[in-house]
Amino acid sequence: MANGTALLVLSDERLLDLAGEGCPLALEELFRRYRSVAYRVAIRLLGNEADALDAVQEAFVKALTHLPSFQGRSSFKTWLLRVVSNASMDLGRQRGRREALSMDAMGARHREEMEPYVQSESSRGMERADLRLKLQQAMNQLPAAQRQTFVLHAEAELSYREVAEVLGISIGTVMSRLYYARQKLRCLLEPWTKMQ
Amino acid sequence: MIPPGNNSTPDPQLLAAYLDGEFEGRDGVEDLRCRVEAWLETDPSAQRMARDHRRLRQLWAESAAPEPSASVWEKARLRVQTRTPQQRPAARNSPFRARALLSGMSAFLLFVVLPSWFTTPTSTRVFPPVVVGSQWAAADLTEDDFVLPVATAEEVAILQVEGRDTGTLVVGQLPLQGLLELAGPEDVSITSIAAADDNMVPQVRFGGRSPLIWARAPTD
Repeated sequence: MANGTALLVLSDERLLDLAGEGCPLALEELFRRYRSVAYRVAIRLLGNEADALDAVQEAFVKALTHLPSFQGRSSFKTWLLRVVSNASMDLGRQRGRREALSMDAMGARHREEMEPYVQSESSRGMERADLRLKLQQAMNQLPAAQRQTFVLHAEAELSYREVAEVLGISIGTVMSRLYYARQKLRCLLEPWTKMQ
Repeated sequence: MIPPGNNSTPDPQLLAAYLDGEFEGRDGVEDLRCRVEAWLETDPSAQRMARDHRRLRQLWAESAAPEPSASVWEKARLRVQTRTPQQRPAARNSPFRARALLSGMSAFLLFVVLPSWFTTPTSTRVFPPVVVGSQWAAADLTEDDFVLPVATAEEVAILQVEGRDTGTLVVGQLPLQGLLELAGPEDVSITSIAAADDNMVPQVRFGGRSPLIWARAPTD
């Protein structure tokens, strides 16, 4: 019953049940479903790939370890993203924000893992990398709460209500944080935002 | 259009919410939506804010980081799996299919074979079944387990039941497998071997862990 193909069509809730029973294929499928969005959130909050991967792994381990405490009040996605964003913020605080795309600071393990990115980057062109760097620098100037709110909305595509749920704040606070985050980003990225 | 009697300019945060699609599919925000749309239609500052909003969204999308490669994801998954404690060790150690099959067979034995055995006309003794030490008893079955039917009651004939002398039907293995060891070699010393009254001579065999002593059955 629980073979890999059959798991593709199962709901998150059913996969969580199976994962709770110790089914490794269910864990694998949950990881496959949400690794990308978790990674995108983490990299926006942390600014480099290696830290983002660490945060994603940390978050999945935490989330899957505490499955019994997940009582289904929210979706697994929002629950996981709460853990991912908190893990990213913690990691960011612990390690200090590194300069985005700084390869020098990475250890050997991370450097090896980054090879695919480097190849990918050169094919996409430096303009996009430059834009990413500028945007990351601008993001780093936002207050932590605004940054977290903005990333959860813009990158994970969570609605205001979902962001409020993840962060445990009101929808009004979400709106306000998004507004001020955008204002600041627009100022910091003025040459880019005026470009057509 | 701005509703009559309400000329105030909407909060720019509402314009952002509108552009983020927060008004879609929501009841009770019609009035707000109308105000924001009217503002957007008529006020150049609102149009500029909307343009900036969309431009920032576009920049954000264009600056997305590339996805890790499949091998990077695989390494990450393995690390997660290694560090994630198993929730139910017993279930995890046994393959899922084997568990389902065992559950199915147990259920079949309990619900198909047992009833047919107890209701067979040739049976002279009828007693309630007592399940002793069954690892896969019916109570273990959940709604998610499925029963694999392998035969109907008519297709099953019970030729022999192990442990029938115990007065219960033993499901699974007997409590004792093999020989019951009553004494070790150091516990036994043979002083003489003599024929019994019936002229039977006990057979003694040494070797292995225990001495074997048995008598040949008398022949008619």
